[in-house]
Amino acid sequence: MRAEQLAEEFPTIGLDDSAVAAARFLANRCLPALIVVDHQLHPYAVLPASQVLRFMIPPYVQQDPALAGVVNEKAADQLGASLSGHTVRELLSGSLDELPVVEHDATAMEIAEVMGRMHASLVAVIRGDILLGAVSATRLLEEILPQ
Amino acid sequence: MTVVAVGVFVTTYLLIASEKVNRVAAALGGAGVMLALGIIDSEHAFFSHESGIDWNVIFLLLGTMIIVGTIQQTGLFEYLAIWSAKRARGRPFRIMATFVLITAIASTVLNNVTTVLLIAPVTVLVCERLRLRPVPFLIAEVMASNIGGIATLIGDPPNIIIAGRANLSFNDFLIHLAPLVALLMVGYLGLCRWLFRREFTYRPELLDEIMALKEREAIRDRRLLITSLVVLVLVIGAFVLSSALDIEPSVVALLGAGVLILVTKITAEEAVREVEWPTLVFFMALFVMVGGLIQVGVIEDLSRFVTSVTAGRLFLTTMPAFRS
Repeated sequence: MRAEQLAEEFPTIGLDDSAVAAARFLANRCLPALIVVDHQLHPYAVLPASQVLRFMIPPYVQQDPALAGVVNEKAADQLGASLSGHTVRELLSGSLDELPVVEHDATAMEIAEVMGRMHASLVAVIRGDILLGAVSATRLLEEILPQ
Repeated sequence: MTVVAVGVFVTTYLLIASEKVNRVAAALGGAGVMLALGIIDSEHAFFSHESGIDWNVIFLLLGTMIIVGTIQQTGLFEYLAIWSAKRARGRPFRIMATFVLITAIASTVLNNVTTVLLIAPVTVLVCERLRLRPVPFLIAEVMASNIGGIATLIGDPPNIIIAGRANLSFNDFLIHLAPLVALLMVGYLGLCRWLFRREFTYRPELLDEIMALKEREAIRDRRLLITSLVVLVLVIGAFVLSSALDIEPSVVALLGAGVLILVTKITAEEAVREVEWPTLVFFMALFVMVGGLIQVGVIEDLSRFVTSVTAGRLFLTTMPAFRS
């Protein structure tokens, strides 16, 4: 089984789209991640839902996780407000070391290796610059587990 | 050879100061060049007490870093800072004063950078709740950390190096510098009050936001906190007694670190992960480079020159050190 056979059509979002729109997209469709494309619609990054949540956390809590419990419930519930006015590009800042991307002819082993190494729940499948779709971790598990 | 040694040292120093190259890479490069050119040989660099790496300094730093790394996981700082902000009833200057005092006191036993890294996030949190600019508070803490670090032998790496070279004990530092630091802090708090006077806008309507913070939640592991504090007190006691017992402070720090790893659930891997290895490597490389300068006689010539210019007067002789 090759990546292009496993790839499913997956929603994409633009780099300069709003962060709130990306978060709503993820929440409404229960997606683990979104594929971010640049102006030429080439895959640019994979935006996991966890990265969106990370962006919402105040920097002082990121530096000192003990402070997460110190803030009361009312203040903690207002986390979502921190997304407004930001773009998807800003959500990605600092998280773009390497893209979870495989070529169309990658095997299940190669896809699993990328997912495992990068802790990615979604891997984009490309042929050259063209985005073919994506393989989710659940889709891959479904395929490789013995019946 | 003297010109080459000075050239290597100055080039490395400029690279470090310009921050164009990572300071550890620059120092290691400089030390490597000094060794490769034979300015200092490996025997002197690694084994000489006079011109080699001062392993007492390195192991003292290593031991204290392990102890500090464990204490910083307890949440004690966050607890103290939030508790004091509540006691200050949200009044900005009182909060700054208590944060400054916490920072200065902590800096007497912890590394300055670590202290600021511990106090900064909670400062930003408190300032955010009170709609205050955190920058004046952070600046005040950075300065307090530097002042507090002067008080003890382990407060700052330069203190450790000076103590090692001048044979000064923990108590020498404590007796001569701690009272001075206490006086400096009084003056410093007055300066903060004046310098940042426009930043202390008190808004009573925001008091609830501070009072709603739950400082007890910051303590992640009560047992670890108690054990670490007991070990810290014992280590400080041993530092005080080290000269009477004829034990090097480095041995005390290493023993403390070892005991802490043994009596807590922290693994050795977790403990050494908190060690600032780049800082240790940086100091080792600096020792090698300074050792090179000692070997070619530059340090001796320099001290002779300074003594002749100042005619041996102590105050003037120490001026170059102040300038550094």
